[in-house]
Amino acid sequence: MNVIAGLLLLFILLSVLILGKTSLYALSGLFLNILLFFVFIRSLQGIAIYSVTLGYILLNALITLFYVNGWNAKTKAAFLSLLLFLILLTVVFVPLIQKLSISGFSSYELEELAALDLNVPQSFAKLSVAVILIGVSGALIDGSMAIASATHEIYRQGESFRTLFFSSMTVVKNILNSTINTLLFAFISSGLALVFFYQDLKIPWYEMLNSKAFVFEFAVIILSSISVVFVLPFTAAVTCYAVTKRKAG
Amino acid sequence: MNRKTLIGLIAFIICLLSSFAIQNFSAPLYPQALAKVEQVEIQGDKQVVKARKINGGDRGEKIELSAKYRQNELDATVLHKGDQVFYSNRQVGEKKRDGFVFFLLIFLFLILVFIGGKVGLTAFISVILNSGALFLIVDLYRHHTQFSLLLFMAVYAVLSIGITLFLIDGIRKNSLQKFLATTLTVFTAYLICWSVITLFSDKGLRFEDMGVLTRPYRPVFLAGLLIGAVGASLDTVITVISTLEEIRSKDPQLTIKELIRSGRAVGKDISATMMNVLICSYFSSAIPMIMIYLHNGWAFGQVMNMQLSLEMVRILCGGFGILLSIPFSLLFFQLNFRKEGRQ
Repeated sequence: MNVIAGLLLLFILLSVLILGKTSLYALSGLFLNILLFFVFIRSLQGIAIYSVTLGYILLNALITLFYVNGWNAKTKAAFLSLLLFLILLTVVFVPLIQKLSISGFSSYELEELAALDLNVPQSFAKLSVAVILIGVSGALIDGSMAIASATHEIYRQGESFRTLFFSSMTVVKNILNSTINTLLFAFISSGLALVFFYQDLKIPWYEMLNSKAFVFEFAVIILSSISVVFVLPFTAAVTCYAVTKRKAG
Repeated sequence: MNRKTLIGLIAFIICLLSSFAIQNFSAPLYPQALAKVEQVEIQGDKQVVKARKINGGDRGEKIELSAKYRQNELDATVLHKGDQVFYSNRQVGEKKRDGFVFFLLIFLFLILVFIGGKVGLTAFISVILNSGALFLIVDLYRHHTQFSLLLFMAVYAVLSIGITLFLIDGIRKNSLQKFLATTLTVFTAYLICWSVITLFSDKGLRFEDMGVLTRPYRPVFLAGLLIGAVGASLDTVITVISTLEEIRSKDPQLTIKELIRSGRAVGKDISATMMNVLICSYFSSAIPMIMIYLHNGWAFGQVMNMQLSLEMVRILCGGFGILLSIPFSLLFFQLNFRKEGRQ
């Protein structure tokens, strides 16, 4: 047994304790998602990087929303918002990311790879777009689901669209801040080594601002935040519409 | 078009123009040499670049530079006409990206304020403060290495939870219950991970995949683990408690039992999608490295084991934070509810 097996065992135990019956779906959904990631990596060895990535994002959303949380108004609203934003994302973000030229590794990261053959057939420019899109999609699914779920709990019989949307927007504003900070902390968590690197080598801030490794992390945080800010009010509106219409009709 | 949209549009255009100006005219402010690419020719594994100097005393002079070329852009940036690049000894270094960086930041600011209003503004401020505090604490630690890095990061964790929460709704009783719930969750989640890692004496962890590092691996990884847990816990606690407060303000007659039931429902709904955020962001960042090893004929399982072991621990630590947030939020909400009931 090693660290990961130990942690995994504890995690399963804690899920069953806290989530009760729902843990069955939550846990199996998570393992399906991890499995899906492995299948995704396998398929990436082909060349059609963008199509494979899009497929991965859609399947990931299907599992996370419909398999784990069931086929209902909440998940349908969340999925609808995701679809719309995926289109927007691809149209706006892909050219922007390509313009930034943040693909691949910087010279100091390459030292550990010196012994390897670097003529990999995949384009690393496309791979970095894929990395960013996947990161953003996770945040999008989560943001939509949180709003859809909260709106459902807030709804009381016979309420009008207007008042429900108003309440739902209160939650949106509450969540906005914490969601953006969650993204920030997730990247600090893996980017801490980079912060030490810049400070230990005394690289001045204006040089850091232009360097590939920094701009990549920066772009992921900012682009994810921008998409979340757009998607939250949209999901609120869709859910409120669906809930009030269904119950009234 | 209403007034708000008009102001938003004008602000967007100003932001676009100023980013454009920074990207194109900030070169003289840099102490390093910069040049603008005029022509690129690919010769084998090299790009021969004809460029014009855009800063320094001999500005405007022509210069020939060379840069690495690789078709997959793994370790080389393919240059185009109009790109601005840093160079030294006739070798191209990094591309100039400051205008784009400025644009991303200011665009986030604009839409946060446009959609979230005052709350959006505080969200932006808290992101800036949290990042600034990180650089400050890391700098402080570098000058006081006799203390452990973990101690500094624990202070940072509490500080950033405080910054984020108190900026959202000021120092009120509500934010105090969120603060206590988050802090308790983060440290419990971290303690669980730390005990398991220590119990199995790092078996199965591949620290060498952390990449560039100017410091010992283990403390930096553990410190990162703690900060990752802050994000996941904070989000769950805020979602659960905010929803409960909203429900209660609409229907003050509800009993604590009904409220707890709603809180559990929201917690169950979001925990799986929150875990998915962690999977998406941590696993995806390993993709480029995985591709290189797979191309070099390493076995699939071996590569996954090597590249994803640390990411998996980060995901699970965040997962503990998410799970524990639910009972802890409900506990503090209940305590607060009882106290208010007595008054």
